[in-house]
Amino acid sequence: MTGSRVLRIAARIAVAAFCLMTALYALIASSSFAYLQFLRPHVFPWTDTFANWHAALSWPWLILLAWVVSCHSRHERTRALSWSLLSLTSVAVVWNSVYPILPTLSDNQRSLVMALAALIPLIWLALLEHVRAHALIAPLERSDESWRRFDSRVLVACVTASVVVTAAFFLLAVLERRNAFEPDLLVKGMAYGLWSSLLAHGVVFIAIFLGVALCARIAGTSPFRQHVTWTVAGVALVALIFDRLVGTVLSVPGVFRPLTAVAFAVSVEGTWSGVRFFNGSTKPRRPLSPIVAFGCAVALAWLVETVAAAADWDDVLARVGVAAVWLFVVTWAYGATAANKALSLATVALVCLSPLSIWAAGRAVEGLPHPLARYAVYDASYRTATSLVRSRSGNSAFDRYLNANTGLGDVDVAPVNVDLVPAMDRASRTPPVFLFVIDSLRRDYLSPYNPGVRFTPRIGAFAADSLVFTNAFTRYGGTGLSVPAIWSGSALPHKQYVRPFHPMNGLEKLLDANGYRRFLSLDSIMSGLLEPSPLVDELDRGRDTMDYEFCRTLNELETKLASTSRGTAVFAYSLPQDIHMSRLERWGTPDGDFNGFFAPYASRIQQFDRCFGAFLENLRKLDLYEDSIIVLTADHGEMLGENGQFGHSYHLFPEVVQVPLIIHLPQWVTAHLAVDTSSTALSTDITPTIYAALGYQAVRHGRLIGRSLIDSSDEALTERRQTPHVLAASYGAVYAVVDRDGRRLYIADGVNRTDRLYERRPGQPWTERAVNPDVRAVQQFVIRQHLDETAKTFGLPERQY
Amino acid sequence: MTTGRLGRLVVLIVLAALYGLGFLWLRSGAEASGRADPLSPQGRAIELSIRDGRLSDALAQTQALARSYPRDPFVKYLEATIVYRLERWADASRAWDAYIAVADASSAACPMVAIAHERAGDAAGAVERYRQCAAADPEDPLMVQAIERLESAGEFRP
Repeated sequence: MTGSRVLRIAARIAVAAFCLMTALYALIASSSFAYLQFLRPHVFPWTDTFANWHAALSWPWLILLAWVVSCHSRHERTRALSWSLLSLTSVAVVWNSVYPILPTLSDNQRSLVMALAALIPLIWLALLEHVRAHALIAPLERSDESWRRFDSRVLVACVTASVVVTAAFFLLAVLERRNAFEPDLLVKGMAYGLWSSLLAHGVVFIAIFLGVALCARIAGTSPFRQHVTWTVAGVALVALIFDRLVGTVLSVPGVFRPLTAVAFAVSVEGTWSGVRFFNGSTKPRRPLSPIVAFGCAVALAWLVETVAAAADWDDVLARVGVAAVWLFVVTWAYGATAANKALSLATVALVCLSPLSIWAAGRAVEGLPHPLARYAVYDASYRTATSLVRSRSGNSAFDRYLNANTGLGDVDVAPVNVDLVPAMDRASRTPPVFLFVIDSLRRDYLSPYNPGVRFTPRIGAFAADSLVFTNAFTRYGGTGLSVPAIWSGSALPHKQYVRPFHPMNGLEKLLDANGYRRFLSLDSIMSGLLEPSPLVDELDRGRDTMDYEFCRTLNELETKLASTSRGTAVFAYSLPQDIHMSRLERWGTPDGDFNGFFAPYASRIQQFDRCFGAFLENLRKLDLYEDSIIVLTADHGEMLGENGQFGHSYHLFPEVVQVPLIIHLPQWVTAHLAVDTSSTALSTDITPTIYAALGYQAVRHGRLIGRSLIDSSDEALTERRQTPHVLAASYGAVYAVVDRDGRRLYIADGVNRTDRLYERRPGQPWTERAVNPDVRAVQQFVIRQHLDETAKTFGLPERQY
Repeated sequence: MTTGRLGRLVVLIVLAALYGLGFLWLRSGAEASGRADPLSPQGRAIELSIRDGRLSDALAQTQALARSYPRDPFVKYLEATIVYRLERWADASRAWDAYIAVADASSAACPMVAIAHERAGDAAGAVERYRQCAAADPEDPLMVQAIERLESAGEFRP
């Protein structure tokens, strides 16, 4: 290949990358949850850098585009198209320089339109290249024998690829499993995993063979049909993958979902075609030797597993990477397979039917038996393959129902008054109230919940003279709805957000009624939901939410408290981000021994434990501690490598939904109370508990509203222990039911279209169980009841699904 | 197109169709036939009646559904739930028993029978059922607590 050709290919890829990144940024901005959770809090600083530099970068991009297009503008067939593309993009670049678009994007339809607009140059370019490339395709001559040989070659390549992929990922699974305690994955378990993986890959790769063989028949021998068939097949495949991986995660609404999927697919396919067009070579290359190819497959698989383990979102990177490995191995296997062998029709049929019939007969996929579920943790390719052929554990109508009732960004919802106390007088006593919601804090990393923890002695001491709720769950997995629900004291409509929020904000009403002076970290969520008030004194002013550090906030709070006159009713709230997954890497390698714990996370907890202890000591010096209400909790937990998962996204695994909840109350509140701290508590119970501690008798209008945790009446305890409670993910159609007093957790995952069931004995860890249809039917009924009640309470329209 | 080529194409299409059907079957899950669809208009009408407190309507609708799906455990569950909420304790006890007889989730519903007995004033029956539930799920502290509560209240002496 000449140097000029290489440069042109590089330019073509750079042009495509810029457009795709612009479109992806706009698409992410269009999603309420992604905008509010990632872009607005500046979770990943490079996204801001890209947005801020976008206008400047668009000029070199335009120059590169002009160079790429120049080779088309000389040809008569593509001249007009080339010049019109350059004219249009020039106007767009000038406009973008005068009015930079990316930094102004937010969660609305304009961002979706921008995402589509950013892909227009790529689609246009693809059109140009297809017009030129069409002339380069030669007609095929195919006899009966050549069709047989073609089928046989593709089939052998697919079978070979299934074996190679299975072996490559199995090898990595063996290596990775060595470092883990996996009693289910000894020799027998691993052999079972290998067999199941071989079958699953066999089914998928035979399906690929059948798809290719049929497409080849449709393509026939004419250049035009070949071109159109393979282009359409490629676009359809990429669009499906894109929709499944990105459309679902970002909940792209309505007609924009297929439009964006197709636009991205055409852009990607067009780029691929463009690169091939510039490459120009049609000479077959010598295939790699089997050993080298296997080595490359293992290396690629390792790269996929490593990158996915470091920064993945709901297995998206892992699945994209697995698709790339599959493509590499199939391409190699096709090149390495002899082109002159022809299999009989009976052999083809037998080879095709064997894996599917064995798989179907075993129904090995139904609820994955435990060793296979464990094996899947270590083998991303097996996870991907089984997700394609696994039986759906839920039902599609229920998944559609969940999706229709989730993320109601397009529904106008008027606020509803959530009045825990209808006509609120000033309380007779107004103790200081401190509400610390540590983002992503897991309960089992705190000594009051786990005797094995040695790095939180101050929180342990705090817990010793506080109420430690051992069975606490967040109402929402994910900050987006969890924090507003804590403030509200109620479950909320699945919308980010109902505005004005104040009528629904039970805690703010309490603070207003009692003239509390408020020291607040105005994070990216609550800053838009709280009413402006002269009583607000902002903490962490001028800092991005992701820069909130507990120690620094507590220091600032101490200073402000010291300058506050005695007798003032004070309230403080913060949402520290010290242990948010996106922040952990900035702290570097921790010192200290955290054996058995995720060290970067544990070390940060150890650090803020010291600050928290110092803060409490300071409260004692100020003679405020004994009379204070101090709540230490989390908006949700976190996956720290369990089942290969990190973060929280829209998971509702036990590690995510269980939260620490420690409440210190003044002695005059607890003196005559017998509080049950072992029955189920919800994060929406916190605000009603603060009401109760101030002496209010909260009125409940329904089961969406929380209940005071210091209400020890029989009715309250019965409800906490016996009533099923519905939890939800903030960012996707995933719901959970906690029942049997927090001993059972059913998860209905409308995003991945599956469901799970966990059970535990008192004091024991959670164990995953198979979901039987009767349990599923009842739990889904409980979720529907919850959503029906939410719709009725907040006046939501009946949704079509 | 020659016969051989056509035959090969037909076989490939048949194989692809088998794969398509196989995938659909595998992905369709274990939704057993003979079960009512709670998201059908009829099913939703029942659930919305329950939500709105129109329990008598919900019961009539559920009993109509039960005629079409006499063996569906979920329909029996709905019926038991509604009768329970109507505070028809004796009927509730029978309805929960009927559900437990066909459902593969009996331990979760077991306490409901006991509670129905208790509410109906049958303390001895309630304790007996609580004991059965405790035997089925020894880890559930609620059963033991319920028995202790009934015994300490003097409502039942063995």
